[in-house]
Amino acid sequence: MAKLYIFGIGGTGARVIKSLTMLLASGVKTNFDIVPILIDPDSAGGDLNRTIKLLRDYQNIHKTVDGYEQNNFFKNKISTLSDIVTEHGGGAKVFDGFRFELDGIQNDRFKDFIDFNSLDANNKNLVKLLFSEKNLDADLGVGFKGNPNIGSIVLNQFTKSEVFQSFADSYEADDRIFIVSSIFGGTGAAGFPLLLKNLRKGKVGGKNYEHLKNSRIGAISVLPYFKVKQNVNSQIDSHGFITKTKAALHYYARNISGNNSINSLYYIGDSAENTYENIEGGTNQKNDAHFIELASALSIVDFAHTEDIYLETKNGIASNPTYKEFGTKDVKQLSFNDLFDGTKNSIINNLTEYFYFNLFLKDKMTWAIDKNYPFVSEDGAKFDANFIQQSFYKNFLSDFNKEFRIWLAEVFRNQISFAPFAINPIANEHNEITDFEINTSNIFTLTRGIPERKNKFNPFAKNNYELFVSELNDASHKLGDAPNPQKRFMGVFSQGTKALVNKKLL
Amino acid sequence: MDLNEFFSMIFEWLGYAGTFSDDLFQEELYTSIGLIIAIVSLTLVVAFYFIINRPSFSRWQHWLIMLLINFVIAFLVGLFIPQNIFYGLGIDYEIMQYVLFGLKTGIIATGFFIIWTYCLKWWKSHAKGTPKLFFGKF
Repeated sequence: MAKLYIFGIGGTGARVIKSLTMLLASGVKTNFDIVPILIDPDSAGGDLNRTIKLLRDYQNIHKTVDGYEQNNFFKNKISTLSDIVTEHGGGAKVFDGFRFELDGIQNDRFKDFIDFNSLDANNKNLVKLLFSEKNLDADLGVGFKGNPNIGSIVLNQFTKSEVFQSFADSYEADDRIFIVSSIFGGTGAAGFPLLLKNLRKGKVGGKNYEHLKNSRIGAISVLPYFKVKQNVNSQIDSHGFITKTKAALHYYARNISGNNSINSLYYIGDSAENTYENIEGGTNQKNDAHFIELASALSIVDFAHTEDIYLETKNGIASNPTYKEFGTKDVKQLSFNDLFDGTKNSIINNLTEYFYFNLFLKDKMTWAIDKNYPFVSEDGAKFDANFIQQSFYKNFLSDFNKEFRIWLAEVFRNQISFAPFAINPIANEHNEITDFEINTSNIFTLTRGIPERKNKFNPFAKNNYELFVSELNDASHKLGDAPNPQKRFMGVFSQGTKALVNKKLL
Repeated sequence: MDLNEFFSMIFEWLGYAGTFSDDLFQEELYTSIGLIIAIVSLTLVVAFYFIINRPSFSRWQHWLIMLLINFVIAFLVGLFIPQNIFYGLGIDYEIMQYVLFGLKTGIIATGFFIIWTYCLKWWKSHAKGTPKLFFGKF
């Protein structure tokens, strides 16, 4: 299968890849093996680490259920670069994970990184012209704090690394590249043009890579969609977001769109009415998931489904570059009906099915085991108390599902609110979302704007969880046994929720 | 072996009641009562697995309710049908004879119910697999 390398640069990159992972888990497909490469100097970044844990759980689930056609969840393969290199028989030193570690920035100030003290007086003065004292004293271990001038120096290291070399070696003609970055920060704003320029050169470690030079490259540049609280001790000031965006767009106009170096460039942004805590980096930099990130993830899906003919590149120049923007209906709280048809149709079935799957596992799985319904015990391997204690269910699926619920509750709570389901986010004392709850006894009223389909002429029609179990029983009977209990489990729920959603909602 | 002999064998295996049993055999009531309870049991089993067929009425307790209903119907069949027939023929027996025969009929109907259950509980239904009276899936 061809690969889609996704470079997620900075915090926004990690958060968009997180949203993409949620979509893929729900059954959205790209027809590519997704290879996320997260580039973020802030190794302790809360958002980054949440994304990495999520990707690992996804991989573990996917590996267990891979190859079972009846299952639609976690279907799209996600690989690390290390997996790809190993598949190609390579033995290069590649990070075994999703995040590329930048060397020489841990506990380092920027001036140490560029060896400022060893420069002669003239060069020191030149550097001082380009960088302020604050820039030079900046701690690189928490990122570039909105300074792309620092980022462009430090991130150059990536394109000279063994990892980049391994990426170039493993890149094949049918593969594609997508770059996710924000335009108003430090890491993303610097990293995107730098990376694109190096890809289009097609020269890595002294070797020429024609495939790479003429690769199909897409990117999304995320324009400001939040503000941070004013803090005199922080170097991040959201008053500068728009100015920085304008400056970067001018640069892009010459060096990206101006020279046709990209095949598809997506722009997205919001009126930035919501305000986040001003955290410069580290474990506390955990922002609520945002609809913009979900929409950005959809740009990756859109790019993956774009036919080759529209993505031709000759001699490093895109033949038909396209520029796309994203819009919704003008409301404060979005339901599926407030998305335009193309967007709505690409996610509504999958997200709704996964939502109900998740809800059942959260609230009813132990009840179903206790009742010993046919789908848990009759048609193949049993889903009993032992099954839900195994790592597949207990460690990977449950953890992933909890993250999915938190993500859904975060996009619900954020501004603009994406609220396809009527849920109540639950927050802890630090105002961090820990889960959601539902306040209805009729689960088919939860999909906002989509009325429940009722059989008015049958007063004995099954409803609610009884209907849910009924569909699971039917799916279980149809599927019979599967190569392993985990595959059967996912197949039963995938087919069962699909039938349920088709019957009652969509 | 005709049906009357077959059913009499089953009923009398639970106890032979002298002339009462002979009269039942003579009037071929074993056949009619046996067929009635076999059909009633089958109807109730089919109703449980394929007509009611709901997850909310699929556990062994629900199956047990159906079995008890079957027992009660069979008891009433065993109690009243011989009484009515014998009354019409001018044959008189103690009420306890009829009650005991009703209980026998209920027990045999329970047997039929279990047999039908094990014939049909494997088919597609929301009560599939219910009940498990013995071991494993049985």
